[in-house]
Amino acid sequence: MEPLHPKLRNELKRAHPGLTDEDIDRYEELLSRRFALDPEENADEINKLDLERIELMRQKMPRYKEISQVFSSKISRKKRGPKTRIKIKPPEKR
Amino acid sequence: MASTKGLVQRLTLSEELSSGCFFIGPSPYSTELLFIMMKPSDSVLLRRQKESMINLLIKAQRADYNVTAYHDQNSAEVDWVALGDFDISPIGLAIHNDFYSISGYGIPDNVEIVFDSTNLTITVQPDIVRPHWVFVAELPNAIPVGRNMVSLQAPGWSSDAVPIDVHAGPPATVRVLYSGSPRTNPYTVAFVANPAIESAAGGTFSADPVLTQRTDFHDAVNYCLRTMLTETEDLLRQNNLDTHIRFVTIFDSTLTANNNNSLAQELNPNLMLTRRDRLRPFLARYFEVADMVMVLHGSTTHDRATAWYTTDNANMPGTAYTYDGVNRLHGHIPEIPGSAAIPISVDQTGHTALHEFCHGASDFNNGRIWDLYHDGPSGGFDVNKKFRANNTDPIPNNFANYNGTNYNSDQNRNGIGYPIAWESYHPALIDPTRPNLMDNYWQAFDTPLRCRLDQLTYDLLSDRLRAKIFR
Repeated sequence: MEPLHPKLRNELKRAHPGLTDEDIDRYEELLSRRFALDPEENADEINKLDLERIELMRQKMPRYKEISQVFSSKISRKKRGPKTRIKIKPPEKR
Repeated sequence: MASTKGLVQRLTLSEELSSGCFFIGPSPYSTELLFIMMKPSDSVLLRRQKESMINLLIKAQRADYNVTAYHDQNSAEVDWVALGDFDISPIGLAIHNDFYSISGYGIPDNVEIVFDSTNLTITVQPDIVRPHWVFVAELPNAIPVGRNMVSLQAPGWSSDAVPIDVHAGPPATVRVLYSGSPRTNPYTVAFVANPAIESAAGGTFSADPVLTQRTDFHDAVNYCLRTMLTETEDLLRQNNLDTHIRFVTIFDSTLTANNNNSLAQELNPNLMLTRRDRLRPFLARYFEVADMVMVLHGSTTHDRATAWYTTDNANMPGTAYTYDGVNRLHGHIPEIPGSAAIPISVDQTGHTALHEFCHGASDFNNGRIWDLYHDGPSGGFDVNKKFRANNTDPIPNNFANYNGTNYNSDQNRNGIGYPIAWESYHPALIDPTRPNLMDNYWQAFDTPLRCRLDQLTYDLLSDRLRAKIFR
C-alpha cells in the first residue's frame, strides 16, 4: 500500500485537532494488515480490521476522505513532461 | 557459389508462378538479373522449394527486405535465397498514438529513433532506453502513414534501417511491449486498463474512466516502466534481468461494466483494490498469462495504490531457500498472480509502482515483502520486518540469515528514525541515507525516486525473480 505522504499527515492533523501521530499510525497499520490477509480465505478477519479502521476514522478523523481528495487533486498533477520530441528535417539524399 | 545481395528491385512472374525473373541489387540502377524456373525433371520436393523461394522474394520486395540470392558463378539461376538480417527488431505494428518499442543489443543511452520516409525524416526521443530495448509511450502522429525505414541512431552508433509500415490507428487492444526470454512461459508483467470498478459495498459495477483516457493510460504505463527499470533501485535491471521479462498491455475499450470485466474494487475512504481472483480468467480471454498484473484505473476518489501478494502454486516446482534455518520455497508458477491497483493520476515523483510491485511479486505463504512505515506485523512470514519483545530492547546486530548469509539490522531506520514506541526493526539498507523503498519513501530528503531496498529484500526478491524467470 502506498505510504501516507507526510504533507497529507500534517493536513489531517491540522483538520482534526487532537489527532495524534499514534492515531494515524494505528489507522495505517489496520489498513496495511488487511492486505496481508488472503481475501479468499480471511474475509471475516479483513472485515473485522475494516470495521475497527472505519470506527477509528469516524472518531478521530471524520474529514479524512475530503482532506485526502483535496491533497491528491493537488499532488497528482506533478507528472513529468513527455520526453518524446520530434525533429522534422528535409529528407537525406535518396 | 556466388551470391547477389540487395533489394528485389523488380520482378516478373510467369503464370502459375512456374518461373520468375528478379532484379536484385542495392538500387534500381545497379542490379543483377536472376531467375527461378520450374523444370519438368524437378522432383516434387524441388518444385516446392522453388515455389517457396519465389514467394519469399515476392514478400521481400513488398516489405523492402534485403535478400541474398545464391547461384552458380556462371549462372543466373537461383539455387537458394536468404533474407537479410537486421540488428534491431521493431515489436508489433507501428500505430499512431500507440506504444512502440524496438529491441536490439548494445543500444546506447542517448539513442534516438529515426523514421525515414519519402519526404521526411522524423526523430523521436524514446521514453525509456535499455541496452536491449527502446520504448515510446505514444508513437507521434507526425510520422507519415505508410512505408518508413526505422533505425536507432546515436552519435558514433547506428543500427540497420528496417522497413516498417506506419498505421494511423486504431491502437492495439493487446500490445506486447517486450517479449522477454524466448520461453514457452516467460515471466510476464501485464499492464491492464481496468474496464469496470466494483463499488465498496460490492455487487454494483461502473465503467472505469480509464477506458476513455487512453493517453493517460499510456502515460501511467510509461511511469510504471520508468520506476521499475530506470531509477536508482536496479532490482529489475541488475545484470540485465529485464531482458528476460515480458511486458504486455491490455486496453479494451469495448468492454461493458459487469462482474466479469471488473478487476478493481473501491475500499473506502480512498483506496482501490485489485480483484485478484478475476485476473487470470480476464487475461486468458486475451490468451495472456501473467506473473504480475498492474491494474491501472481512472478513479479520482479511490486513488491510493495497493497490492496483493502472489499466491504461488504449491503443487508446482520451486527453488528451495533457507531463512533463519527454515526451509522455504520460491514457487515457480503463480496460482494467483501478484497484483497492484495504480491510479493513472499517480504522483509520478514517487516510487509507488515499484513499491507495489515488490509487494505483489512476493508470496503470501513463503515470504512477504511487508510495509515498513508502521509498527505492525502482517501475521505471516515477513521477510523484511522483525520485532523486539520490548521497545526498550536493543535492536539486534544480525537481522536474519538468508541462504547461509547473515544480514545486519538497520539500527537507525536511516532517513527517518524509529519512533520510540516501535518494537519493529528492519534489515540494513543498501543506501543508508534514504528511506527504504518499502518504508515511507515520501520522506526522502531529496527525491523519493532515489530510495532503494534493504540488501536482504533485494537479494531474496532477486533470487525469487530469477527462480521464476528461469523456470
